[in-house]
Amino acid sequence: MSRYFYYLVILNMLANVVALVPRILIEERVNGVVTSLMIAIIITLIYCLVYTNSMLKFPGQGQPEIIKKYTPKWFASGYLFFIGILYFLGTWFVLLSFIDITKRFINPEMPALYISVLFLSIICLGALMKTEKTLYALEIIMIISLPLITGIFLKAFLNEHISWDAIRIVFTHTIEPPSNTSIGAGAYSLVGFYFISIYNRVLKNRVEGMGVWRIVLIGIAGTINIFTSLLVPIGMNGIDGAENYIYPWFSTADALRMEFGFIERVLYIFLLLYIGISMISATITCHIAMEHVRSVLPEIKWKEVKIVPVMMAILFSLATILGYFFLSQVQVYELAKMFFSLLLFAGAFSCAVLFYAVRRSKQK
Amino acid sequence: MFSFKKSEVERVKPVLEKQFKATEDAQFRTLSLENDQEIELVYIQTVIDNANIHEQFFKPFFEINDVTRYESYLKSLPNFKEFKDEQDTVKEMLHGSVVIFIKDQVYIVGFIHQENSQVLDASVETTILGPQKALSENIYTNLNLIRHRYHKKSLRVEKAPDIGSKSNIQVCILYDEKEAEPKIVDQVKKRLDQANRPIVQSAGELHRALTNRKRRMFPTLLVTERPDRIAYNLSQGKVIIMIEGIPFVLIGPTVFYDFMSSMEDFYQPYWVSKFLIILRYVGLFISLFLPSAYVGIISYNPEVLRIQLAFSIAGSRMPVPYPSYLEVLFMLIMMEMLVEASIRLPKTIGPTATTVGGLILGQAATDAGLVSNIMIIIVAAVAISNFIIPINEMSFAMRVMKYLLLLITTLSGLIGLVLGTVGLIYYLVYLDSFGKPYLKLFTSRQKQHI
Repeated sequence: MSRYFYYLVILNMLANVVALVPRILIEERVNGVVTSLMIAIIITLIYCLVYTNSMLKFPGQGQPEIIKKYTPKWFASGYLFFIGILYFLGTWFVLLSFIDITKRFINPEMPALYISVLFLSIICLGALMKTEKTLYALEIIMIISLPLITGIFLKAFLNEHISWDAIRIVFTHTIEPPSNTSIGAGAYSLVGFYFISIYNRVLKNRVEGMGVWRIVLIGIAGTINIFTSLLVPIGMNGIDGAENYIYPWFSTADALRMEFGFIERVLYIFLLLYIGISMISATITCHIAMEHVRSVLPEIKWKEVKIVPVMMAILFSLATILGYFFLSQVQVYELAKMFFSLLLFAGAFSCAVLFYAVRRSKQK
Repeated sequence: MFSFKKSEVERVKPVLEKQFKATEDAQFRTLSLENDQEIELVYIQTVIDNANIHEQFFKPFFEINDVTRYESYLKSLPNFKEFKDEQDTVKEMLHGSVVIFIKDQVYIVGFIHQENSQVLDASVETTILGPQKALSENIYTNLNLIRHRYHKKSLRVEKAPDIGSKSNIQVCILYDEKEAEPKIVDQVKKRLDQANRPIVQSAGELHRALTNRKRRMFPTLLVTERPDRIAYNLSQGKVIIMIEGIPFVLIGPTVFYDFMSSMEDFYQPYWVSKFLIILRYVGLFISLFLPSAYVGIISYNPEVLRIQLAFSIAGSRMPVPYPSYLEVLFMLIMMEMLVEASIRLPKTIGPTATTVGGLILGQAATDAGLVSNIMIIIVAAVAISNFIIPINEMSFAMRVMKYLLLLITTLSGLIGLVLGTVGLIYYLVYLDSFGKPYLKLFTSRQKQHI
């Protein structure tokens, strides 16, 4: 596989382990969350195997082209539009939480509208770039932030104040019925492989299919990632204290201290790195969403400029700003839970559709 | 056939007479032998090699004493050119050719003389251990220099159409046929055809004419004066654009890293050159981010720094009566003035300006309580690290970029700095240089796929 595929998978893992996902998991921490995570990882890896291998059967093509070619027109339009909306929703959740995080942790006095416009202008301009260019930007940001973020994760694990007993309590509740929301949230951090739906257009893969050992590698990385996301806040804040925070990870990072350096509070490094990561993550999901939706809309040109993506960017920005002002944090949180659970079924559906497309392509 | 040839002189002569009769330095010389055989030479005295024209054209004519044999003598001259049409003849004359009418035929012999063909010392991109000579202002001398560094039969030199409707500057493109991608070579030629500007005087100006983007921030073609860099880039499959009368060439397509590399990197041991490259990137980051980070931290989030450092900065800023962004802006602008002044000033006055400026900026400004001591250190660091960027154009672009980041940080704090950085990365990634991505990590020539 091309290295960019792994960047995409890792990006999605990183981007989703700090904002909404850990809070959902921590809420379920004594309700069989370990079992839920195991189920989530296994389900997602199966999806990954089916989906990625099906996409790799069509080198150089994106999901819109494949679906349009092998399914009836009414279905293709509806399906692609629906998938596009799902990606927009994913971007929407990331943005809403990061606008809120910025306001809470960095600039409490700054108007939320200003922060939103700032975020959205960068993201929309980025999402309007060519597909391969977003990958180059992704690589640069990943190379800068990945080592630092890994360092912070390690620092958290090696911290002398982390309570391993609190972490053990989580594991004593392993054999309990899993819940739908925690499976959905756990699975969401692993769904980066879906990004291949558009990026397959530009990824030049050297291999025919996705071998089992690659899946296992992704699975191991995902397991470490999601358990870090769940356990470190619990270890730092205690099994009861962990649920007091809306953004458990940022509060955890604020408990870490760097003894030697200009910056003492790890929180700021962590925050600024995560703003970068969430920016590129939002850019990429927004780009995928746009590519899906525009594939079913007619192409309109105005003075040589393709106007449909621009209109989409403006509409999406409006939706984000309205969402921030009209929805409370609690409502966003509840919506996110539903969204994550919905994605589990949407994932099964889109694997099935793609599998059908592969069958059709072989028949022809 | 005969009738066509016969008309050559008749067609050309009136045109030349009309164009050049009124010009003082245009010469129309008629030479004749005893047997009434006549030839006519037309040339512009000031662009040809005036000292040798007698030796090369007049003397042989009388020595040979026969027009037909003189014709074959002319054909044997190294810069003999075939006659094409009237317009071409006029152009050739302007570029230093001698036009000769013999019987009914027109001959053109290049006899150019340029005053500026001496090879200059490298002054813009200096190295310690590398070659010390740069290019000259003469295109043929430069070709000679490059050929002597790059002995390969696949090296192609092609003449591009003259640039500038008024200046009519001669332009050549050079590439290694085996290494360069034909697609890129075609694109360069196409862009050169489309470039229209009345006057082109420098490589930078041609660069502006070649990019289809009107307002550009970053250089997408490399301007260099070093023959060794040219030879290296030829071997990398790049296309070189040479311009008459300028000791610089343009190299394309270029990527961001080309602007951060010095030829010195190849002349030093491996780890030393890696160290130098890292140093350069650190310099780039300091010059870009330090002023904005100062404003963001001091005015928005002082709690980011460890408490002792925050206090010492606050203590140093005690006498300063205005917000940090004014302090930064004030010092940066003074520093830029100093830099600009030392470029424009005559060499004899230059040191005075920098001494006076340095004194004022360094000591008096802090004593007067206009800026803090720490600000002086920051400005000095920014100024020095900006000059670490080896290619001048990139260093200038980053100089401007710094102010954009400062603006967005002043308006929105550290979050603005991060967003500005992401925006800058997006912009650099979005750029193209002759169809090649401008900023992309791990570019290797063998593996062109993503």
